[in-house]
This record gives sequence, C-alpha cells and structure tokens, in this order.
Amino acid sequence: MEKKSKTYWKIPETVTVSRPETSSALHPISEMNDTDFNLSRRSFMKLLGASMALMSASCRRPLQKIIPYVKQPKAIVPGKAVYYASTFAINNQAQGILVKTIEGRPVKIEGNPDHPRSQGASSAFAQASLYELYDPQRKRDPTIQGNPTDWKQWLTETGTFLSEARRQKKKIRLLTETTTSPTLRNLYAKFEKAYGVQWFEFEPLSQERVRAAHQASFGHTHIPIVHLDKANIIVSLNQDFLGPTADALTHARNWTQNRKLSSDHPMNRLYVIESGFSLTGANADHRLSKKPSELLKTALSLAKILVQEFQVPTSRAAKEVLNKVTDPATSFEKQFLMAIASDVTQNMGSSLIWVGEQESKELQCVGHYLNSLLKAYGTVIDQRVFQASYDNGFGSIEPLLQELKSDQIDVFITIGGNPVYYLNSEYENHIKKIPHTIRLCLFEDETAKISTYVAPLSHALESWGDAEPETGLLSLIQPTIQPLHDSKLTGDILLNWLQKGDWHDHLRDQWEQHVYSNLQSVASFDVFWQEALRAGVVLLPPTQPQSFVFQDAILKNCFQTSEKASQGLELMIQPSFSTYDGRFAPNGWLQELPDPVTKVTWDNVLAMSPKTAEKFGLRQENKLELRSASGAVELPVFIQPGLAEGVITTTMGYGRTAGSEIAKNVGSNIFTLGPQLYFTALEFKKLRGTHRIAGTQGHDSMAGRPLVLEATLEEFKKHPDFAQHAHPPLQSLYEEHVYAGHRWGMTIDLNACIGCSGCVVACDVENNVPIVGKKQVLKGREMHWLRLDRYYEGHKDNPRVVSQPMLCQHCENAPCESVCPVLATTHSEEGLNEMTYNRCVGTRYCSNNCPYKVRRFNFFDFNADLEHPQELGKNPSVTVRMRGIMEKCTFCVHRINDVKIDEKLKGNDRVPDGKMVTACQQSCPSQAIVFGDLNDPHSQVSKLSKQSRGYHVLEEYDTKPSITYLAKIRNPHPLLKNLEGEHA
Amino acid sequence: MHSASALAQEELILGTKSRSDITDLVSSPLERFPSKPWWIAIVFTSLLATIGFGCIGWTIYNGIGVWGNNHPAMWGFDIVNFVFWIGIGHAGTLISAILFLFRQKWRTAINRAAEAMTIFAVMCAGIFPLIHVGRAWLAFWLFPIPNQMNLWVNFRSPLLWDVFAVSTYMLVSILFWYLGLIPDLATLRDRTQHPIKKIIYSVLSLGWRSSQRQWKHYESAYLIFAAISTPLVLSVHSIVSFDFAVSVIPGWHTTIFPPYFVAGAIFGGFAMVEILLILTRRLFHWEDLITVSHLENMNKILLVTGMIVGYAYFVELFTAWYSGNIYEMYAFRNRLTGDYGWIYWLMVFCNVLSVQVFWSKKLRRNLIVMFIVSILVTIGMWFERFVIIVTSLTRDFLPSAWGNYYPTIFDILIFTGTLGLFFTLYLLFIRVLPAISIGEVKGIMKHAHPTGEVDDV
Repeated sequence: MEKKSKTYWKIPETVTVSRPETSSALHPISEMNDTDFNLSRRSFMKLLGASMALMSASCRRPLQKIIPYVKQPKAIVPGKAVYYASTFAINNQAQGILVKTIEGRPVKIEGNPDHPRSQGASSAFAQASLYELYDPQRKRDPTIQGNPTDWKQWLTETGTFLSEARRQKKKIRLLTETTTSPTLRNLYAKFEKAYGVQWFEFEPLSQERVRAAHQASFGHTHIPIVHLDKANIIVSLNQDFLGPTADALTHARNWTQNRKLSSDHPMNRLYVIESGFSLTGANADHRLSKKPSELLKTALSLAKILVQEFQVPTSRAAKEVLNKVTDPATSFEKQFLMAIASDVTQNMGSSLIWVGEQESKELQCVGHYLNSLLKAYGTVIDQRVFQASYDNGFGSIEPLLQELKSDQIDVFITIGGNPVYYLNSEYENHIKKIPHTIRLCLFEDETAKISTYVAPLSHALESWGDAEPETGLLSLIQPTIQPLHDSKLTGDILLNWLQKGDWHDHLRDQWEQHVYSNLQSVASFDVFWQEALRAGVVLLPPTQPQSFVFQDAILKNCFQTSEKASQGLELMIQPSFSTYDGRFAPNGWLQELPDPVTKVTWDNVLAMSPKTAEKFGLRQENKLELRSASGAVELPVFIQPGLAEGVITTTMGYGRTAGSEIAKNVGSNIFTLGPQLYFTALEFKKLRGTHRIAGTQGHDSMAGRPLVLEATLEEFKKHPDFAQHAHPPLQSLYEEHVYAGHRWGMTIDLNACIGCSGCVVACDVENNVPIVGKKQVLKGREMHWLRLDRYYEGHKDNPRVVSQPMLCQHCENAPCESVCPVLATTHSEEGLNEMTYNRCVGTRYCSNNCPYKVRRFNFFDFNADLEHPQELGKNPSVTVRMRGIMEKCTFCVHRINDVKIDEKLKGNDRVPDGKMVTACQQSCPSQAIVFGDLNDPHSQVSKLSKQSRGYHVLEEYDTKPSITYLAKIRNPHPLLKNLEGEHA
Repeated sequence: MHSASALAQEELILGTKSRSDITDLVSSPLERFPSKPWWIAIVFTSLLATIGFGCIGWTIYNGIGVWGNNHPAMWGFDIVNFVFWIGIGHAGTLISAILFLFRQKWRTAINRAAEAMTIFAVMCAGIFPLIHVGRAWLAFWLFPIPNQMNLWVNFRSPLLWDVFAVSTYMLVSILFWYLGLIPDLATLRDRTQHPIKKIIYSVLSLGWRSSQRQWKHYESAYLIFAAISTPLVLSVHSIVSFDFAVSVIPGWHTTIFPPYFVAGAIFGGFAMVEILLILTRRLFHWEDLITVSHLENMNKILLVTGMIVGYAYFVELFTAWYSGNIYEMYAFRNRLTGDYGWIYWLMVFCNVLSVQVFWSKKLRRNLIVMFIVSILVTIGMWFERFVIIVTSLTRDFLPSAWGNYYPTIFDILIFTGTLGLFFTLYLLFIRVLPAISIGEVKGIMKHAHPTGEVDDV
C-alpha cells in the first residue's frame, strides 16, 4: 500500500487511492466471487498445480485478503457511491451526466437532473462511454513512428517541428472533430493564430446543410431549438428526432409529455414521412414511406394543399411557385397530406414541420417555409435559444482535401474524429506523404495507423472540459478518475505547444473571464466554480430573439430541384444506434445493443422492403455489392417491412479496420461509397454466398396474442377499461399473500416507451451484464436482462410498430421458483423474485418454465475474457457471474438495499416513494418506467398500476407479475384511420 | 388365466431338450472365447462410448455452450436423451415384474436380458441430468444432503422427484436383477473350471445350494420384489413426465402425459429388447429358447402400446383444439406444420404407422420385419421426446423470444456415446452372465411340475 501510492484528481477532497496493480485493497468484492474460474491456458496450469497442493491441505478456495485503507480518505467510504456531475458530448451535442464512482472508480453514468438537456435521463451512448474508459485496447503511450516514447520527448519533437514550420511559414493544418467547448474552441483559435495554422473541423453528421438552409431561408445561421412539448401536431420529414443522437433525450422527454394521457394537454399526433424506418417512424401515429428524392415534392405538395385548399395566407410569389407543383402520385398520399393539413391548420402555432438535418438544403428550406406558414416560430420553435452548429461537413473541408491532394501540407494535425476512416482511400497515400503528421486519439485508429506522432488522449471521464450545446447553456466536464494510462488532454497538449501552462487553470481562467463575469453573482469565483462543478451546468440569461422571416425567393429554387427526376435504387445512410458514426465501434455494449427497429446486432445491413428484394431477386442475408463512383461496399440484405420501394437504407460507422479488436471486421464501411449520405441510381451486384445477420428477435408478429394491448384515443375514451378485458376474470381459491413491509413493483407505460434501448445499456452497465459476441448472439445466447420486444402489426407494407420492454416480471406466482430443484430462485418478503447465484447449479428448468423467457444462462464463462482494466469498471455491488448459472433482472436489489440502509440510518422504517430508482428507470428519457412500493397507496407506482390502462402480460396464466404495463394509445387522424392498408 | 394357459400351451422351448441341454446352451457362450462378431461389435461400441465421454469432458471443461442449447431452448438433446433412455429402461422391469405377476410364462426366456438392458439404459439416462447442469461439479446438490448451512432441496420441483424416482428405480432394478441371478450364478459356479471365475461366481451366488428351503425363500423374495417393482414401472416415467406436465409451457402442460409417457416407455423399451434379443439369439444360437413365438408376443405388445401412443398424439391435438387456448392451439399447430414439422410426421410414421404391420400374423412372425420395425420404433420414440421438448420450448408464449434449436456435433457424439456405452455394457453382460434365466426356463419345461400341481412359476 505504501509503496506506490498515487494522488488522483482532487474534487472535492484530496483523494488518495493506490494503483490497482499494486494493492488488493481495491478488489474487496469483485475478486471474492466466482470470476476466479476464468481460465486461460496459463492460469489453468497454475490452478491445476495450486489445486493439487490445496487438495492435500483443504478444499478451500485460495486465500485473498481484504486490506483496509491505512489512511482513510475523507470522501471515500468503501462501498458507498459518490456522484460527480459532468457532461457527455458528441458532435455538436452534449448532455449532463452524473458519474457514479465507488472507491474512486466510475462504475455507472446517470442523467443529471439539473441539466436541461438530459433532465435526469441518459442516452445509451453516454452510458456506454464507460466501456470506452476501461477499454483495454485504448492507446496507452505516446508513440513516434509506432515506437513508444515518453511525453517529454514527444512534446519536444512535435514542438520543434511545429516552430520550425511556423518560422518557415510552411502549411500547418489542423483537422479536429467538432466540439462545443467554448474554451477548447478558443484555444484552437489561439493555436491557429500563434502557429499560422488553418483549422478545419469535420463530422460525418455535420450541420453544414442545416446551416446552409437557415442561411438561405432566413439570412443567418442561428439554428433554433424546438419545444416538442408545445407542439400538438408534429410532422417529421426524415427527421429522426428520437434516433441515435444525444439530443434525442430532450426530444423524447418533451414529446412523450403529451402522450401519457395524464395531463389536461391534448395528446399530440406525430406524422412521419420518411425514407428509412427510423425509431421516430416506429413511434408515429401515421407513417408514410417515400424515396429520399421524392420528399421534396411531398413537402411542396403539402405546402400547396395548405395554401390552396386551406387558404393559409402566403406571398404571391410563393403561390405562383406552388401552383406549378404537381399533385401527389397516390390517393393515399393525398389523403395523408390532407390529414396533416387539416390538423396543422387547426393547430396554428402549435404545429411543427421538422426536416432532418442531413436532408437537402431545398427540403429544409421548404420545411422552414411550412413552419412560417404555421406560425411555429416563437412558439414551438424557440427564437432565443440556438443549438451549437458549425461548418463541419465535407463542403467545409474541401479546401483541405485539395491541399492534401496536391501534397502541400507540411504538418498535419488530427485531433479526435477519424478522418482516414471517413475519407476515401486515395487520401491515405497523400497523408502518408506529409512530412509531419500528429495524431491525438483515444484508440490506435485508422488515422493513427498512418500518422507518425501519435499520442493518447484522456477519456472524457478523465478530463476537464466544458461544452455549450445551446446558447446560454454551459456544461462542465470534470474528471472522475485519474487517467488510467499515460494520456493527456487536447488542451494540455495545445497549451504545451503554446507554452501557456495547464489546461485546468486555463479552463478556470476562461470561465472566470467569460462566464463568471457575465453573471451577477455575489459569491467569489471559487464558490461559483465549486457550485458550477457540483451542478455540472450553468445557465446564462437568454439572448435577444432572432427574427425568422422566410425569404420566399428560395422556393422557386426548391421547386426546380424537386422537378429533377431521379431514377433507380436509392441509398440512404443513417447514423447507427451502436456506433453513431463509427466512433463507438469499439464499444462492446453498443455493438451488442440491438438496433431498436431491425434488432440487428454486430452488423450494418442493407435494409430494403420485401417488394424491393423480390424485384431484384434478393433474399435475407444475401451478399450485395454496392458501387458508386468512388468505391464499392459489400453488405448483407435485410428485409425490412415498411420501406418505400426502391430504397435501401443502411447505417454508418461499421467496417473499421483498426482501433480495437471489437471494432474490426464488424460490418462494412459505407463511407467508401463517397462523402454523401444519399445516393441515387446506385449500381449493385448480388454476390455469391450469404452473410449471417445476428438479430435478437426472429419473429416480428405478435401472432394475435394479447401481449401489447393498444387502442386508439377514440376507442380508449369510449372504453377506458379495455385493457381489463383482454382475459377472462381471474378468481382464486386462495387468499392473497400479504406483504408486511414493502412490496416492490413497476409500471411501464407503453405509450411513453419509444424503444430507444437506453435502459438496456443502463441495465448492462449497472448489473455487470457481459457481452457475448456475434457468434453467441446468433445462437440466441445474448445476456441482456432487459430486452425490447418489437412487434409489427397492420399491413406488411406499412406496418405499425410497438415496443415492449421485457424483463423479469417478478411474478408472485413465479413459475420459475417452483421448478428449481435446489431453491436457487425464491421469493423475497418484499415481492422480489430473487436469484441466488451461489446455489444455482444450472438445470435451466427455470428458464424453460418462464413464460416471458427473460432468464439468461451463462453458457460459457463470458466474463473470463475481461482484460485489465475492464474489471475496474464492474459494479462492485453486483456479483460477476460465472459460467453455468442462471441470471436475470433483480429489480436492482442492490440499489433497494442501499436505499433501505440510507433510510434506516435516517430513522425511516420505509423507503419514501421516489427514493428507489432502478437503473432502467433512471436512464429512461420518457419516464416510461416507474418503480416503487405497491404497498404504499400513495406511491406513484401504485397509482399508475391502478390506472385503467394497466394490465399484466399473460395475466390469464395467473403468474401475478409485479410489472404492470400501461396499454398503448395511438392518436390516429379520423381521415386516415382505415386507410393505412391501402398504402400497399 | 385362460389366455395365460393358452399361451403356455404353445411350445416355449423348441426341440427335445433335457434340463442339462438348457444349462449347456445358456452357459456355453460364457465358457468359450468370444467370437469374431462380438469383438467387432465391442470395439465399435466402446469406441463410440469413448468419444462420447471425451465430449462430455469437453463440455464440462468449457461449458454447456458447446452444445446447441440456447435461449429459449434451454433443454435440447440432453433431456431428450435422458427421457429416451429412461423410457428404454422400462421394458425390463415390466417384463420381470408385471409379466411375472400375470404369470406370463414366456417372459422367462427374455426377462434376464431385458432387466440387464433396463439397468444399462438407466445408467445411460443417469448421465444426462448430471452433465447437463451448468455446474456439473455441483450436481450433487440435487440430493438432499444434510449440511451445516441448512440448505435444502425444493420438494416442489419435478426435477427433484426425478432424482428420487430414477435412483429408486435404479436401485430396485439392480436388486431384482441380482436376486434373479443368484440360482444361475450358482450353476455357473458349479460348472466353471477357471479358479478366478470360480471365486467370483462363488461370492456372487451367496452360497446358493439349490435346496428346497432356499428355493422357497427365493421365490417369496422374488414375488415381493415383483410387487415392489410393479408400481415403479408406472411411477418412474409418470414422474419424468411431470417435468413437463407440471410446467406452464404450451405443449408440456398436459394431463395426459403420465399414462402417455408410460405407454411410450413400454413401447420404446420393448422395441429395444427385441433388437437386442434378435441379435443375441442369433449370436448364441438360442432360437429354440427365444422362439419366434416369444418375439410375436412382444410384437403384440408393440402393436398395443403403439396404438396407445397414437391415441395420445390424437388426444393431445384434440385437447389443444378443445381448450380454446391460443397458446396451446398454436403449440400443436406448430408441431404439425412448424420448422420441426417433419420430425413430428416422422415420429407418427415410426410410432403409429409402422407397427400396424403387426396386424398380420405372417409379418408379426417375420424376423426381418420385426427388426426393422423395432429400429423404427426406437428412432420414433427418440424423436417423440425431441418433438415434445424442443418444439414446445422454441415456440412458447412471447414470439419475440422464439428461436430454433440446432444440435452441435457434441450433442450428437454424446448421444452416440451413450448408445456406445449401452451396447458395450450389454455385450459385456452377455459374456459374463447368463443372458437367459436358466432356472426359470427350466421351470416352464414340460413336466417341470407334477401333473395336477398348482402351476406356480
């Protein structure tokens, strides 16, 4: 303990813990359990010898000592969690998080309730970023030409040639990923000035088009934020606002607020016109699938209907343009647009037409036009708060690409992102020719592979920083652990080059100058700083509203573009729920997270409708080669009902060739086709052979079973208790068991659940759920304790979607409990169905007898592959399970016990409502999951479970689940109710 | 008793044989060096067994994951094989106990081999519950072993009932078999010249001297064992069927399972006895002792039990339809038409249709036909268990959790390994113990009993 003690970061107290390798003090729980059975070849031999020796003496396991702290650090109570507010940022977005640390190690990421962008929830990406922190494949040392070196030498050498280049006025180019951090952006600018650098930023999911559209429509590039809670009618045109972005948290919360039927606010209605099958589309009341190239026409048709048939006032110039617009091709589309038009005209000022950020400038302009017609600005669309946006697309880096091509650059610095992966392979050779390449990155990725000076960046959880995802919202990033490896922060490296000291001090200074000074604060800066760190967020007073007056002239342009016909197969590329744009490809938790719609893991696929596939003679899992002017990509076919004919959609971020073993050889890199996200007239070729797709759900239909109950709003108003009649009345000869203390229960509102799968990752992280890999997923052996069942219903060409979170129902009459021969699964006196891992021998009878099939079996020792430092990230409150035993949702029993102990210390017998929050509930952006005491009549869960929408799945089997689902209510337009099928 | 005496009038021992002829005929294979066919057979079967045990070792080393079991089909070949072997193990006790109580004299020629087969089959069956658990080294926790932690087993679990049922059955079967062996062991003891054999047979025959008094005790004991074993014949497979019937899974939760499983077990067990006896009588030239009439009687039982099984298949379908329960209805529709539908129809062909040939006396007495039918029935009964276990598990309540089951090479090799073990043990048995009960066969010879004496074998 005394030998090599290191001082970790200092918030709020000085915390001294020792390195894990040198002490067993940090291993008190995790090493006492069954993971000792992970056998590598070498440890098998060791164990063989050891067990022979031990056998002669005794039958005990090897002795391990729990050593207490010699000097107890003040902030650390063993086993007690400390939370730190921080920020998770990707691209131009950021959300507030709380990092739960136990004994100095971050083990869980939760939402920061004080942060307006997260409101207490946290996305799958944010939660899974913990995997990144402990990823054993992270880059560990700075290297020069692949040889490990120390920072001193690395900084000296890079500093030297940078100054040299500056002196000789050679071209230094900086290419970074987008950051909203005002301090870092400021520093980039300083660096630019000091060294004569030209700074470019790049993101595959850029804001280039949305900025261009705003510029064209309103003459400025302020991208306003929207308030979905104020919208009664929402029309999305390829805007996947519930999709894989950090912002989806806010949108999901706001959108579901008016769908829970709890407030007086009328239930909102969502129309989605889209090319892919997005999560937003899956949640739509009405969905229309269109080819990407046809969307512009559809939007113009909608404008025409509004102006001509609903007499929405507009300028003459606009009218003239709209007169020329042809009518929709099908009567269904016409009806669809008529329904939208009648809705939005009745909801002027509370309707929103929302076009996806990646859509063409013209389509977005028409969207802005429609919104101005509907008076959305100032109501649904905020005129005072703007989201961060930058020129960070392919258009903006075009000059840089030209310079690369002509080999003019002397020093090329890349920070974050992964340009080589995104760019066409021709640039690779040009980059290799650059005399000096500097790369700062988390992983030894594609770009690092061809750079000479490569240095490891610290993970966000090890870093200081800030973010400003929208104007006036300043969010702080603070470290929660000392860097695990010999890494540095971008800011530190830049400051070193600028010879200006320390990033942390710089950050503080900047905040003192730019934030503190803008606030009328009476407290000293130190107090302010402490408070800002505690809250994680500082809100500045709103700025002056901007005017959003649509410039009609652009409409003509839009119309002309809409007339350009496009033919052939169209491809649409979307971000992925697993990899986002590729940055999360090394993340095992995310790779194994099933896509909410396709349920595919560990792959990107070419999704096409059954009709399209039939037309081209393709079948599921056929290999297909897509070819564009700049390259070709090979991907498997996935039959996705509900796509427009002639459309293929796929996700980006796969096919990584470096960075981490997990990222490699998963899917194919769609960026090889070229820089854009939409392709028309694509060539394709069917290849021989098949590629197996690992989906977690093979059957998409509910087979007529009353599993997800639903009704339309109208039906529900007529028969509010419809959910009670899904099964015959149940009667029992026995008296109900009486629970004396707590009786834990949960409600899941299917109306609020959007299927985002954030809860799945939350559960994985909280409960040390292992990842099993594609092969095992193919065999149906994924370990998720909580899964999202996705069913299609209605017409197969335009199906509706329902998602149902399915986890252990903690049945009162649990079928699993009675069949376990060794009593390894039993009922607790608080109504939990408990699993005793130590007692389980693994007959698997419980899983067979579980009607919900929510039990998971450790077919192999899935935790045996843990590599240092991954074991540090395991939640010490939850046993890491060995092979051969069954596991399942525990209702976060360790959290229940934590809360109970806390309350007991305060002198409370019972846990007050709202104190006990399960991991899934915590992460849920739409607050669909509510947990609590069913014995307490005033608890939220009791009240919700008694709602007329409440029902139990398979209630007729009298398992008496503790989970009550609240039936789904849709809000279809009366005009369209019976027309969905005709869309065929 | 009329039918029994009618059967007894048939010649159960062909040719004119003296008592010593019978002793010679049955004992001689034990006294000569094994023949070439025997060697070929045992090399093959023990090789299979060895491979099977290797695969078991691999499974225990790596985990159940090497098998095809998955979520939702947590059980696959492991439990299919278990139920299959337990079923095979039914015929022996039925023949030795129930047929004994019913005074079926023809049982005497076949009961020894059938009982031995029972024990070997139960041994094969017993392997699976032990190795199929995730932590095989803790499988002993399934027994109620007193311990300082006061951890007890769950008496509500059918798996625990299995533990008791199977171990009781195994124990009683071995004792019953051994009891019947004692007079014959004494015969062997008296005949053998080999000193080591002599010691072994002497110890095992427990000092049997064939005295009147000993025979009297022996027969009382035998009768008592028969009476004890009879309910076991019915209980073991009933309890095995509870593994399924007590659950909630559509296709498992069926009240007809206990009688249906017992009938199926007798059916499958008789088929296996026939396979073994047809081969044994040919190998040892026992055509005069195990006559075609014996085999014909067994074929009649196959025909009857096969039709009981067929009835059960029908009633299951009817009940599912009549219940109006959508889950039940789907489960059975899926059995007939789902991904494993071909297995269902194969099962129906083997178990219900193939035995119909035995309506014809000519075919019933045809060795080749009965050999083929017996093999078909054995296959059919294996598939029956597959249909029950796998099709039900792979399509239960929530379609989201549905998924198919495919065995791996380890599943297959472990199954063939138990086949290998079973036949290896049988081949060893017929080399070291009399495969026909010498004493009992002599008891049904003409004039074994003085005229007018109560016919009491």
